[in-house]
Amino acid sequence: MPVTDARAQHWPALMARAQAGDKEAYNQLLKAMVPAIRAFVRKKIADEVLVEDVIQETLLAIHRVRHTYDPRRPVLPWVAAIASARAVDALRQRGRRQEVQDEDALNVQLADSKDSDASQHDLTDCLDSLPVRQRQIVESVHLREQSLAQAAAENNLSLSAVKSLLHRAMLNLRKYGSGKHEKS
Amino acid sequence: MRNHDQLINQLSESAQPVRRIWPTAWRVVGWAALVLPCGALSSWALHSRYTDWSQPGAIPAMIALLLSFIVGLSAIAGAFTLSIAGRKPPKVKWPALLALTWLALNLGNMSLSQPGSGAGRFGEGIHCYLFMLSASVPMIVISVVSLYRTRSLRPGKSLALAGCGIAFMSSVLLSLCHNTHLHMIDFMMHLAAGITIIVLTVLTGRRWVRLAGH
Repeated sequence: MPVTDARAQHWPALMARAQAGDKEAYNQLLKAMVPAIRAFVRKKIADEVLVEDVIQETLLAIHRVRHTYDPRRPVLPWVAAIASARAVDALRQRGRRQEVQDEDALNVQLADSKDSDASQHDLTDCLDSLPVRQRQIVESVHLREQSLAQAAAENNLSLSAVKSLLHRAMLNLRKYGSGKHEKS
Repeated sequence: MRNHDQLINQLSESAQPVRRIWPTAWRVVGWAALVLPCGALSSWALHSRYTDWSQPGAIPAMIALLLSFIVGLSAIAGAFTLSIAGRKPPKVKWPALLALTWLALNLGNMSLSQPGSGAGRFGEGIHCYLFMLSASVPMIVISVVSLYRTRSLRPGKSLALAGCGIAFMSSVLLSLCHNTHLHMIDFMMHLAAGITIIVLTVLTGRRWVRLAGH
């Protein structure tokens, strides 16, 4: 990735400033990193929606461990390792979710034959397709009608994390809904 | 392609100055300086005597102690290195060779016979097992806290390496209050303690050391 390599030459200096608390440098750096992260993630994941989810996860992970970066070292291996690990985690999670969905689909079929409440099952089915944290936020905000701030406080998260989780939950639900619609 | 600017703006707005982690060598020195006294204190109740280095088998025991110390430091250095994204995994060739030498020295310094007196060697082995476990408790806490600061993309491997380091450091402390000559059941209990420590370290730290997305 020679173009990215050339662009990344000034990233260590930006990260050093970001580690010292320079918000502008950090903002500039993260925005510059997004195309590189996308390229790394696309090597492992073809699904565009999931790629964008993993980019967000990678940005959050970079934010969390930014103190582990040593500006004397090249930055791309550091970013690539984080992006790659997040991509693998996302694929694993999706695999597990797929298994859960298959199991739920079977359960729903059995329940339908017993004339149980279909809409309740649909809702449960949709929510079950989400990762636990996303499900908790959807339940807080959309089912219990809490404000974002209340949901953040209840789940011990920042407001931005709640917004991010909710955004990803909506995308996942939309994707799940369209997949289900195609099947039926 | 989604626009991530909103998230980036939020992250950069919340960014505070951070303290960079120390180089691995300094972290290892700090770790050793902390875990050895803490391990010695926590196992003090089980400390019954000091090693008599005039006994037969003292020289192999001393070399084994030195090897334990070096392998322990190498293992924790590996754990710290592996926990940082993008760093090359540590080379295990030399530490593995040293660990094999340590094993060979202990096997060479061991007799299959049971001791003639006392309450049976199994009892002594259990004492060693408990000693190593009690010495390892603060070491596990310190190691997990150290790894929690960096988190790890490979928490299982990082913690297993840290567990190895802790097991060898506990063995160093045990060597300072143990007969220079080993008996088989006794040594088996040392190995069992080492394995228990590795498992405990992985189980204790897995939740804390994992780098979650949010």
